[in-house]
Amino acid sequence: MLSTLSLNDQLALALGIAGLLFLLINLLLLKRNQPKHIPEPSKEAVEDLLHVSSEQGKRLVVGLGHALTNASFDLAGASGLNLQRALLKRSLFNDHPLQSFSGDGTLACVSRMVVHGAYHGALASELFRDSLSQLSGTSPLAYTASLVNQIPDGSNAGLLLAGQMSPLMLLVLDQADRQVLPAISALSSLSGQAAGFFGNSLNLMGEDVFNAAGKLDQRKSVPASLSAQDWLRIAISIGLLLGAILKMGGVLP
Amino acid sequence: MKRLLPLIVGALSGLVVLAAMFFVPQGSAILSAVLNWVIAVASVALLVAIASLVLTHLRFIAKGKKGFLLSIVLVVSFITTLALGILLGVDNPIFLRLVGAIIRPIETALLGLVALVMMSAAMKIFRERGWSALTVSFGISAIVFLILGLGFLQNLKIPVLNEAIRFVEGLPMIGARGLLIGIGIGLLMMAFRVLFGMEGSGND
Amino acid sequence: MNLPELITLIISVALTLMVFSYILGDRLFFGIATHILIGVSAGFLALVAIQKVILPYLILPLADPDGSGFWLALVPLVLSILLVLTLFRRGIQAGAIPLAFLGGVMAALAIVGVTRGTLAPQILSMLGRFEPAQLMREAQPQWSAILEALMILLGVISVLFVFHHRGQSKAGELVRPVFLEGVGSIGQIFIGITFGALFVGLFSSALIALISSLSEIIRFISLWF
Repeated sequence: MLSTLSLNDQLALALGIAGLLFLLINLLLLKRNQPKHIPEPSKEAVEDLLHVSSEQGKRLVVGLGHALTNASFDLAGASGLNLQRALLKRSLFNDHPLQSFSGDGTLACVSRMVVHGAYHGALASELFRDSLSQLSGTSPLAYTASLVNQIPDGSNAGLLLAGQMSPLMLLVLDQADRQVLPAISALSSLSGQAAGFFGNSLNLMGEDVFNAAGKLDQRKSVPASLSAQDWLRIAISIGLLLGAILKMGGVLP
Repeated sequence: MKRLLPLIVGALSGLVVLAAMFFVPQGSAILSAVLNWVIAVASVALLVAIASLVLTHLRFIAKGKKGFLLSIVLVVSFITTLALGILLGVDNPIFLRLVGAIIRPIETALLGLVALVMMSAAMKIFRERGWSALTVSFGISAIVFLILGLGFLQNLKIPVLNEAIRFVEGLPMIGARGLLIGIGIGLLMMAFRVLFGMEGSGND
Repeated sequence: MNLPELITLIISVALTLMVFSYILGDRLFFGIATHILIGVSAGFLALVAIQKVILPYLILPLADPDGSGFWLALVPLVLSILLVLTLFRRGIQAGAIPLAFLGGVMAALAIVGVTRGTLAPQILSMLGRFEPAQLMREAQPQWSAILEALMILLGVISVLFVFHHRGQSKAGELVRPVFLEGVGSIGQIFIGITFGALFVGLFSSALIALISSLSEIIRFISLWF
């Protein structure tokens, strides 16, 4: 069966299996030793922002993006949910808990489940409010424009942008800049990461966006998957170097 | 059981899709059926979210919350579009023209605003981010690609220059490839965590 | 210009000016224009979802109990009903099952998509640069091709290591190895180059949109003079 697969598919299969194995091994190893990861400064900033918002008695706003099932099925669009979950858990009983906005129907439904789950888990289901997680626009531009409108609210202490967003979110960052609102962007598309860099925000790039919550996300699978990412990165790098040599030698097709 | 059932449903549906994609063509019928279900359920999710959006704004209006005038604008636009669409039909050219006449200028103007925002952002970038390998290479690259975008260097038709331009134009692909592979690695791990229920909802 | 065209132009110019009022720090007119956009796009998308997806995929197969699609349509129907229950406070947990279904399928699609559509093609395309036929021509090494291939390979690896945060314990503190620090800096240069090119690309498209909006306003003004 493998022989019928193209070279691309064989490599894809090998990478998928390697990724899964690395994750499982790291989950097993986790019990013995904790991996040593240097905290990324932008991720530390998320924690700082949370403290500032608690001290000021204001809320943080999370833009979860506008693409999960809207145009195509893209799981990367859900990367902001971890950030939402981690921040919400720490602001559940604040006067102004975390407020999140989605631009995709499915994402809005999942995000509402996250909010409900967080209150339910804290045995405070009665405090759950529907409005803490809203759909704010159904197209990329409508969503962006809606976020621009939300930012000037006096009860906001900071803005976090995560998930998939078009570079138009520069407008959101500009509005945050005008309102002197600190912003952090952790977008999972290349153009989004570039736009996060152009705008005035602490910008997470590459695979860092999938663990934007940093130390705030304390689930066991997080350090394991970070280590697995490291292993896969090293494996791909070694594979590229070896592959190049073998290709030059005519060994690889 | 309440928490276990969604985990089983998630893992099972994911594994079925993975198997169906691997065992092509036998699995293609299953894959097609599951994808149709996904499309239908995702559309219902969209409707549920839209209903929730409208209900939220109706609540804002009822409570007279700050900014409720804008909520009225949103609800009226929504209901008018919905009513006209039902009356005329979604594919009706007059309806499509009406919707286009409203959406297109707003979207174009928003995109135009981005140009103005980018001009001021470009000025601020070094002040906000300081001087580093990243910002300096960004600045040089932006200037170089702006000049190349004008096209007059290409029009000189000097072979050595054209070769150099071709080389420079290929440079952004290096960073893009690295970032894409990085995003791919992160997404792969996230997908495994979702598939095996390590992401959970909010109550774990 | 006939009447419908004139009305369209007036609406277009009014909405454009409302959006541009953002530059002056206005919130009301910008808010009105964008809330119209949100309302209209939500209404339009709801109609499209009902007419193009829900009716043909969910409702119509159920109208024919003898048809082969009937039983298949029951699954999304049940999932959809559970999802609709989330609109009510008491039923919100019912949404966990349909959303888990969507999550599972999307995770599977992501695994296949990212390995087959991103990682493998990117790796193979880079290795393709080391094809002996490209590096040597008529027994002569093609130095520009060799340098380019090496630069791409090492450049991509350096970018990958920008995000390698594993540290070493030194005097009770976690530090990044000097080697990784150096490789990461080179990677940052390549990221900067990519961002610069993307900046120019985005700026060009935004500028075209700005010119288009301004030309609508000019067209409107020229009607009266």
